Amino acid sequence: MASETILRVNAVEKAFGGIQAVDRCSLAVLPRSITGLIGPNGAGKSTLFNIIAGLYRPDGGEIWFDGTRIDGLPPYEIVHLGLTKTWQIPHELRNLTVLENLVLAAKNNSGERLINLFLRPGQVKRDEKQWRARAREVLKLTQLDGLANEHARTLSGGQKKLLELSRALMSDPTLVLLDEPVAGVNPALAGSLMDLIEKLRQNGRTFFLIEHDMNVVMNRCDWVIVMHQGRRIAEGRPEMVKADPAVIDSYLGG
Amino acid sequence: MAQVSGSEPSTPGRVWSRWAALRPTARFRRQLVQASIGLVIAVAVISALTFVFGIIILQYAMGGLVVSSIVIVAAIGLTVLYGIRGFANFAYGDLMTLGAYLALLLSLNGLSLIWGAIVSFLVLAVVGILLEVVIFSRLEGRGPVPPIVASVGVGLIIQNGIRSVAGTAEWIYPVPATQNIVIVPGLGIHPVTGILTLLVGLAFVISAHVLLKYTNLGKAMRATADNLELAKATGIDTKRVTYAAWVVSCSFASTAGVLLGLGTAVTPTMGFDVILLIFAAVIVGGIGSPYGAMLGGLLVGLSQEMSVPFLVWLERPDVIGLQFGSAYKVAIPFIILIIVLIFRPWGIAGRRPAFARRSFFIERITRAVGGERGAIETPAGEANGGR
Amino acid sequence: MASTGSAGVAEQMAGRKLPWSEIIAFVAIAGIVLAGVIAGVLAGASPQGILTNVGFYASIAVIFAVLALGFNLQWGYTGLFNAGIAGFYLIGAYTMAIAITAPAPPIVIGGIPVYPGHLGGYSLPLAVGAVLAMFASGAAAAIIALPALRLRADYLAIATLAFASILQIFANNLQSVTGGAIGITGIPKPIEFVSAEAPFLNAITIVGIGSAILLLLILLLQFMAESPWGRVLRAVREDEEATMALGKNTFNYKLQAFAMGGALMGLAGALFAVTLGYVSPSSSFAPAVTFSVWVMVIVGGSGNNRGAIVGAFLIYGLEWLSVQLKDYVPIALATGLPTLRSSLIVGGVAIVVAAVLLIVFGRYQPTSIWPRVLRKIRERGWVRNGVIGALALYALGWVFVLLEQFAPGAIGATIFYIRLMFIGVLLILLIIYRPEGILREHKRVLR
Repeated sequence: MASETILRVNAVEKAFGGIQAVDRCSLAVLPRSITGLIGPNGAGKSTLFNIIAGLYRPDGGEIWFDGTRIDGLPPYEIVHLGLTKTWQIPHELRNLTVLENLVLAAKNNSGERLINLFLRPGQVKRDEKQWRARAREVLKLTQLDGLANEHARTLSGGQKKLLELSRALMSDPTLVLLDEPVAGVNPALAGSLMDLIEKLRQNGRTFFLIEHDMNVVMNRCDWVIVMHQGRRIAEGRPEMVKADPAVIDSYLGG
Repeated sequence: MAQVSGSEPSTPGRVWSRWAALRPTARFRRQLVQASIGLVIAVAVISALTFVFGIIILQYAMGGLVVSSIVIVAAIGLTVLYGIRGFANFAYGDLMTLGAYLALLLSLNGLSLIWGAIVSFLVLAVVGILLEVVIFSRLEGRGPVPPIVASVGVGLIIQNGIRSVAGTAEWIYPVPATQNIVIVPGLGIHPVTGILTLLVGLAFVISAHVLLKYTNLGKAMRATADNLELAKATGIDTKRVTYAAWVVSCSFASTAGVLLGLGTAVTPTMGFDVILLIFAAVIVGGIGSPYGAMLGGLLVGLSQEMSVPFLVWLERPDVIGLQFGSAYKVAIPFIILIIVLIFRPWGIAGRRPAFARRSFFIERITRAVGGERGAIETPAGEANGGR
Repeated sequence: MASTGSAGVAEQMAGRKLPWSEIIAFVAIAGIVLAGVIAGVLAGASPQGILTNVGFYASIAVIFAVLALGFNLQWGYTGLFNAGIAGFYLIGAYTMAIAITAPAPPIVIGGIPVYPGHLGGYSLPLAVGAVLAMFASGAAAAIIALPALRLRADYLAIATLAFASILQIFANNLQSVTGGAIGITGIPKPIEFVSAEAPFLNAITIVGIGSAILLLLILLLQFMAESPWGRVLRAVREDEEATMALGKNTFNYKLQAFAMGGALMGLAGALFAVTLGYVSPSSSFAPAVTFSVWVMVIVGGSGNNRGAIVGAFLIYGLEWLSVQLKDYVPIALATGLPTLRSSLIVGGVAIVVAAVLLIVFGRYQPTSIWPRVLRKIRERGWVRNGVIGALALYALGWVFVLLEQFAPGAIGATIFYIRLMFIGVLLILLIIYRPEGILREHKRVLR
């Protein structure tokens, strides 16, 4: 059962104080898809992403990723399994350069283990060179290569979003959770970003994205899931969801 | 649950809705029940120990209560500032010392100690406001570390200023020497260091309670301690509340210092030596909660004093032959503090933080043991002092 | 980034800009040593004695420098604020003492226990003892870290402070292990000199060994900081949650950094044991040591290893100097009081005149030089700071004069405490205005 879907969320719930942010939400994402997650503000979308990525522990329910149960695992293990997430409000590492920000997203960089610094210096140098090269490639894809040596704090809002996306791609993930990936990015660049995502999807990756920009949702997503007040209220192909009265109600009624 | 519909126009409904504000909330009721249970257990334990080991247990318990009174007064002051201003005031012990020395100065120059304590109370209130205006208002929003560092600086200044002016010798308050009053053979209490301390402690606890629960300022202080942003948004003058917090904090410190000086002696390091004890009480009780501070103070004071018979028992060669066992009594509250910080950092009366992430270490252990969800602690992002 | 006005020009000339703050720091340290030497000369001490004294300053400063490096690793690089430095220091010192001394059984004279004895006395070589000390402190740090590192910064500070206090209590009372209040004596020196110049030669040896260790540490820490591992640490300090989301087990990194910092503090303790020749649960391990190290690292710039070392030499220099001057300040003040007073009066008049001129010219002659001076004072931070500093010194001069007039001798007796008050003021000023310290961190850029 779990092999059909790459991500399965089963009756997950999470409350903060007295507020039920996620209320027995269940959904599934198919592999090699670009799936959209939409819903009015406060529907619990970002919270759900944080739970999936391991930053919050759900109060109940299960989360399965590619056949492995991941709820309750720490974030670094989930990243190692192949699931990465970008932040809605960019969490760039301000006093590090863009290149450093990216290289940090590398998986299995031997230089990051203390012992290797002393026992395998050659390997450390090699890994570092390789990851820096890869970082530059990714930066070229997201058109940030000119800023590689700038400190991340000097980036504009849109550029920080691009940095988020670049970081998410560095570790060669299978599933990428994108939290408003093109908000604040100029339309031309947004378009080429979504083209890039489409190309990466064809290479075998899955993208699950939260977006408020309806153009992106309608034109780029194969499948759309709608959340409202912490649960899934509708899903389907973009055109169908757009016309669904329950969905329209949720956006208007709030 | 505490909601009452005020929409009924009839007189009984209106009267009832007025009293509704005083009805304790469900959370407070729950805490009251927990505190009462705790108290009953404590009394039962002490009684059992007394039954087994004799009246000396009560003597230690009495000593524990006296220590607790001092700690409670100090802890209320510390926790109010901690909750509202949001930082651990490492200068608090030295503020206590300052209060004690001021009272000493006045009492040596003719004033009675009571007047000395009162003047010291007022002077330290002003000192508190000065500290906020000159130093700590500039450190807002910089995370938890800068105010701690600044408070260490303040403490250094106060402590060494006192040393420069008054020397390092011990001073004793000019209070007439009195004998212990014997209640029961084997159980005595000193009228000044015992009864007076307990009474003053009780008086301060009651005044703090009245201030916080029944005055507008007190309610504003509680709201600000609970949620600063929300308090600002609802129009509470947080500046005034901050000053009030400093006033309460420093003046309580001065009284605690005087009580401490009465019980021991007045030395330049008297406050700093007990600051960890006060922190223990505050954290065990829950930061920002004066009632927690009271409970924490009780727990900490009693555990410190009542551990003495146990430690003395450890001194016996057939147990482990621990030398100077009773000297370790001061370590007991520290151990409690560390345990609380590990398993329940929000203390007895504090709230479990909402955005808590589990410790994966404890998580692994509880998973292995098969237990239910383990301890929650504050989000990792705060460990760096926030963004 | 766009820069405005003359400040930008200075930045553009960055390649040729002199490191003013470092130069001032070195000059200050040299000044301190010089003042101490002069004080010794005035006391009529032999050149041998003076040199030994300076050697002692250098050896203790080196020890503090190692402590500062350890704390810098924990706070400057990883953002872990350790308030229990004295505790790890103590573990290192006692471990070294227990390891390298000869066995010392309890001494009982006439039925009265004079010395309780201590654990061990394994007579191990010094290097082995040092390694054991580092290991013991590092292990203690790792154990403390397991529960403590998840805590907020202020909880961590309180927990580590409690830990250090518990250790002091144990050191004082666990007599059979630590030698109780007397401690462990007779710690062997690296080379046992027997000549009359022994104290001086001992000091030189310690300074030599210490400097070599410092150099090694700087290189090692630099290497580790610029490595990918160090990069993760910096990321953890910036934003731990984001770093976790990037796939790093941040707890492990914090644990490693904390443990290594603790090991360094243990090394400092080992050096201390050897320098002093004995360890006791005295004020050497009091929280004041922890606070002094904080000042040293903050002065030097958190995250900056060279700055930590300079900070250590500076701050400990002040302490050493205050001890040297303790006997001479009252004499100097008594003899120099009249001249000091007259020069202060003259200076006061000059200040008032200058202020009046500035204000008058500023109002009525907007094109003359004075308003430009005023504007410069308002604009340029360092000019304003300089003016404020000069005024503060002036006020301090008056304070000295008045104190000496009404309480002669008081300053000499209390200069030790005044120095500590000064450290407190320094701490407050630094944390408000220059939390990044006086020596700026040299930004590393990944190319």
